[in-house]
Amino acid sequence: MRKTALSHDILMTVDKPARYIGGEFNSVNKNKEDIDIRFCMCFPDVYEIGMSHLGIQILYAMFNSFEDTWCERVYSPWPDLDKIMRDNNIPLFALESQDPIKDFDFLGITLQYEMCYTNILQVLELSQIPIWSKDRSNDDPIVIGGGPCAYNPEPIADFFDIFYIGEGEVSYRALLDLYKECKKEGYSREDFLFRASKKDGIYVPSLIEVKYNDDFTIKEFTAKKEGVSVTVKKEVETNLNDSYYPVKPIIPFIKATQDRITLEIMRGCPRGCRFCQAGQLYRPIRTRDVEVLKDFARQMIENSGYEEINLSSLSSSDYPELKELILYLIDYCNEKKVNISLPSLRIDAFSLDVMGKVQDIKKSSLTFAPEAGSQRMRNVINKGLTEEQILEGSRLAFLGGWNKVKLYFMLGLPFETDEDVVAIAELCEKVAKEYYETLPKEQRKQRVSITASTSFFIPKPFTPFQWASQFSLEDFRDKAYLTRTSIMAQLNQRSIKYNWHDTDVSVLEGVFARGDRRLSKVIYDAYKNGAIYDAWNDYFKYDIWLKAFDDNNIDMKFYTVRKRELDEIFPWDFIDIGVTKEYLKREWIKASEEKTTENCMIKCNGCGANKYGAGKFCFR
Amino acid sequence: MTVKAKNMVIRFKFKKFGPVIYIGHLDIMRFFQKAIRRSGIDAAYTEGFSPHLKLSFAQPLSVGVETDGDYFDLEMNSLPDMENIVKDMNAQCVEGIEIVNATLLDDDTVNGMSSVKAADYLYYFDDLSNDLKLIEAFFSQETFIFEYVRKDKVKTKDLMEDIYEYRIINDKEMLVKVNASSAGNLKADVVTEALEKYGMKAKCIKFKRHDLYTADDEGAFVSLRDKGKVYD
Repeated sequence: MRKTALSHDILMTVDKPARYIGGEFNSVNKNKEDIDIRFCMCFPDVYEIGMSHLGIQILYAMFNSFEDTWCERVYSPWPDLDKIMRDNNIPLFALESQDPIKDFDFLGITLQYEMCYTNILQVLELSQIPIWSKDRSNDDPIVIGGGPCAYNPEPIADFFDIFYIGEGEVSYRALLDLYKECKKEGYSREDFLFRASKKDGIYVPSLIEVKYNDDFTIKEFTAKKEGVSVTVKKEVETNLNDSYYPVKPIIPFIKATQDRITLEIMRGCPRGCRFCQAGQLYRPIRTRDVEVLKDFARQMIENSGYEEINLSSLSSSDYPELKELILYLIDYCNEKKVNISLPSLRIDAFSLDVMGKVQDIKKSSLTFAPEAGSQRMRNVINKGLTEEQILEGSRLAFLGGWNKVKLYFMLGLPFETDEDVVAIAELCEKVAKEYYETLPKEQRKQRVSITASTSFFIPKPFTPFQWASQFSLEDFRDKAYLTRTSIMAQLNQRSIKYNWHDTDVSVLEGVFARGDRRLSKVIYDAYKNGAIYDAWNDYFKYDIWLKAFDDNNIDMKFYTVRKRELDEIFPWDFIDIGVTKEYLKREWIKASEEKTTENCMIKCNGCGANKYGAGKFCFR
Repeated sequence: MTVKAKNMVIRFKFKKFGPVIYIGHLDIMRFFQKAIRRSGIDAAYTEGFSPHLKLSFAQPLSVGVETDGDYFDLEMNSLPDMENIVKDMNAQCVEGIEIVNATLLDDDTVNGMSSVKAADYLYYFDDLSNDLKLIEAFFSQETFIFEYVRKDKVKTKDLMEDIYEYRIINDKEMLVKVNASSAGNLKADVVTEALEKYGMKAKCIKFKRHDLYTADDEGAFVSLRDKGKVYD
């Protein structure tokens, strides 16, 4: 029978002990004697968050389909268990075997957001693996990072042996084969890393040196060993129809944040919103055939028992066979008593009809993400959603019985003026007015309810806005205040609710997003002083971070508000994502001229991603 | 509440042991909901936008406790292949959660939750041989007013009202039948706490729930399992 790494007494003490026992339905157990490679996948946050992530489920299914590999999972222990493990010197363990992670061959850590960086150090330290890659020996696991934050891995470069740049489905098999080969020949960590670095998508930070200018901007990247390339090319899965998909997803015992089936319908996005990193990183746009998706949906519903299915993509309205897929799912899910959680769709007669079928109109709301209040600003960010579309969509929805509208905006976008901020309030007011003009008094059952939410814009690598200055903390607060007072000045202000996100975290996120290697020491110091679970408001301690930056003589403003020249070399420039820096530059200049760029399913804008030769839309 | 439909409720008896004992009652319910849906049997659902299974559990079990005999009742739309139902359901379970048998309930059976009257707990000790007299004396009392603390609240109970039977199985095991009705449920660990207070030297290593009972018209205890035709 399976064992537990933690004693009965500990499991009875900690909150939600089911986070640590493994054994979930569809989790995979193998016989240690029958396998060559032990791989542990880590999401450096609490179990319920980590178990909601599709990427790990995909790679888990893929790795475990290899006969010679056993892939297991680990998540960040919650602070209650963290303390117990430190006090009792208990090594962090993988869920499936409950064996210490330090005995594994690989520890793969997914990097989904910047604010998880201290949790990476927690996982390493609790695993009793040296935190700094330079201190690791042949006996320690190879620590690999992947996921969106791996596209600027530099702030955490010194903690990782390898970063895998791109989609995991492509090159892991070759990497494992190389590892086995090295093992056979008498293993040395250096030799394996050197040989791995020659593969596409594999970045070994210890083999590339970064040289700085006097002002700490980057001078150049140089190879530390002959034969090491100073460009790392992103890996792309070219055919989504026969790539690995977790049709037998692991079903957590405790409720995960996403307690549902995720059906990934496509990768990439044709819209080219200039603030959006995912929109550039996941190019070229690739779709899964509708028949493949129907089959996946059926299998996953049967294999999971979930009560809800969710369609996942960056822009579902652009999926060519969306109508066919949704109509099929409505029928099939109705029969199987499964709810469909719709992605945010362009509001039109079809989507409202579908929404009416799958949701309770009285409870559900309509969502728009105009991202900016004024048309001028929406042109700057290339968000192709017009005021007419929002008002017409709202009008149709009000006629259909909806009375709740959610609007998402960003504050602090490049070239933003006070008028653009005030326009957020005015747009909310126009939606409210639309309600009263659309519906005669006797048809209004309730007051219209509009919720406006703002988040602070953070410039990200590999976007046209990578050159932008981030606004300061004070500016952010002023902008949120102006939004609030402008909303309160509207005629229908009582129907408009305003939410905004915290500012301190946004500044730090901005630092790490465009950070360089000098930040590793800051992250280490902050962690040693108690920073952990920074993505959680209750645990985020800004003062610890301020001190860590101070102690290292590093000014956060260098990374955030500083003006970047067009010819500056960025810390992430050694990565080739297909989309060229020239293209991003063109887009940055067009943004300053308030000029828009077309949806690339309609017209190719020459971003460069078509060199992957993937996805039928890149060649139209 | 009596069941309306004719012969359409299946009562499942299940075991829970090993690491899964740390899964709480609500999550065990969620686990079985998904297992039932995966099994493809034709269970009945509620109406509305988010239909739910008509599923009711007899008695919650504390986190960290094993069981050999817990139950849930499932209302069906049509009956599955009863000969294979235990096997089919177990194919959807995990190590440590096991369906023991399924009872097709008699038409007039009251659902598990409201009919539970008593529970058997099996206690494991290091060595009972020196405490046998003391244990006999303890259980022979007419009354035993006991004060104990649970969840920061002081409770006072006459334990003899809620302890129905006991049986020494061997030097290491003892079975005790206690009140498990919604009005007077006696927690299993209170019994050992009281025995220790009374002077018992033997150490209780662990205990598990053994079975749940309802009462027949004469007040005799009947296992929840035996309220219809049993399929193993």
